[in-house]
Amino acid sequence: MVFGPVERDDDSAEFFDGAARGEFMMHRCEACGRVWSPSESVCGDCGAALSTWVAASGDAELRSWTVLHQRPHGKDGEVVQKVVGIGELVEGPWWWAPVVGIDQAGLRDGLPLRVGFAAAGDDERLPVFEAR
Amino acid sequence: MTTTMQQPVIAGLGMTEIGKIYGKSVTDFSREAVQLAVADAGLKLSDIDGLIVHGGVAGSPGVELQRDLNLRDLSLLAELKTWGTNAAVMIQYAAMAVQTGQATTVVCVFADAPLRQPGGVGEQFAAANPKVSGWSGIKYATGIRSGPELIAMNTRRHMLKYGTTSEQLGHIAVAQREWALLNPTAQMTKPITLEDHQESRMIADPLRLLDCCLVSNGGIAVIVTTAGRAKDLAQPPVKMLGWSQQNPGFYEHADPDFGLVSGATVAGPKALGMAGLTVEDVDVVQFYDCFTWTVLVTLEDYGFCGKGEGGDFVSSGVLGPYGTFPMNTGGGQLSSFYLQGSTPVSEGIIQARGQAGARQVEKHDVVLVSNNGGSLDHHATLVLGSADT
Repeated sequence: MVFGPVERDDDSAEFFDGAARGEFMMHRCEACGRVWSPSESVCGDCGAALSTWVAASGDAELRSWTVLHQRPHGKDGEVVQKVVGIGELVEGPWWWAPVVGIDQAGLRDGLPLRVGFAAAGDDERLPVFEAR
Repeated sequence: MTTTMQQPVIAGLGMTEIGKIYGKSVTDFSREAVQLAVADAGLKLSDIDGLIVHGGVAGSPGVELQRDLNLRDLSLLAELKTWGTNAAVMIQYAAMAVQTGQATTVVCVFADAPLRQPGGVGEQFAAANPKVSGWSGIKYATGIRSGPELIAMNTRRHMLKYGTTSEQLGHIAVAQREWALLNPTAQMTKPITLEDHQESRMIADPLRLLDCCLVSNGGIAVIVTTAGRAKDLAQPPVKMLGWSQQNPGFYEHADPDFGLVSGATVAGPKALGMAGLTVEDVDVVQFYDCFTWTVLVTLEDYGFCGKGEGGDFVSSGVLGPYGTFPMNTGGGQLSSFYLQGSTPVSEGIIQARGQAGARQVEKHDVVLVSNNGGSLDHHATLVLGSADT
């Protein structure tokens, strides 16, 4: 399981609905048209409250990453490595998510990515980044 | 430098026992630290007319600490929440209060008790899963639980853009451990080598165990008053020559500077400018070092080396007690103890007073202190002066 369980709240409900449909929903400012990450609530350019949602193309580039060294079976158990990265959607927003199906040796700034989705707990789905 | 009677100075420092100290709450540590600071200054508790408190991850005493200490007639009372910049920020507001005359003798206290005795009652609370919901819940569900995961991604950006290496970060860890060996209260007491750093357990690549700070229980309180008031007190006054904050804010959006630049670029010149000084005038530095990377970026941002040159600077042999650049002279958060902003602030005060014993830096007239909070979210700078400045 690439995600632990997570619950939606009012601010993120539309985003979770989009993920369930296989869409990465972003905010678009009604006043000036700039596109923002779903987690922003105010337009960084003009200050307007963000209320309109628009689907991302799903194309992105890798901007940074880390490899978590986890011990899910306790201190003496095997180490499980998991790549988590920052993907820059071609529309501009940044998103932190697991990077799946890509060899660690191939990770680099600018690596072309595509948004995919994976289960988070029993009820939700969340975006991941895959090779494009 | 001419010192007016209204010049804010640090006149008291109280540090509880710090480290694996169990059985005390954040409020216990806060109370004890205030009492120690008052005694250090040669004051009585009833002399205190200002109190600023800041809690840690394990809770906060709140403004109820006034009641707890039986303080009366406070002209200044506040609880702050500024994350890692807590110590520098509290002291800044205390300084402004005594400058204006709103208060005369302000104590600022930070304490935390994140470590639970293994197997104790606290262990049950520590093991409980936090509520994971909304945007922060998504990061948590992804595996981004705390500092290392986020800062690892900042560090990676710095490596990608400037070629900074893990070995270069290791030089910071090794040098600070050397300083810690001269500090009788440091939690870490064994020397480490660069090989030890490179072989230490990977936490979140590229950050290894020895790139990450300690965890500590304890409390530290600082008393700010005016130079005129401090003349009659017990310790050599530490002058507050300059101070600043920079909290850049951040959108989760394309940003070429992300992970590469901190608030020190703005706060450093501002605080030094208030003091009428530049980086060339600085004798000793105490940098917030939750991670080795944080130190490297701070060095660049203050201007001790160029942007991107931090790796070369720290591996050039200037660090450590036998080098020419005295930095984190108590061992820092990496090797001495971690009480957030209070770690570099307390060591800065001790050095400025000339009370650092075996680790005392000979020329200590101007001490530059940084505090950081969050990932790159919060920064504060203090410029401290010795009694002779």
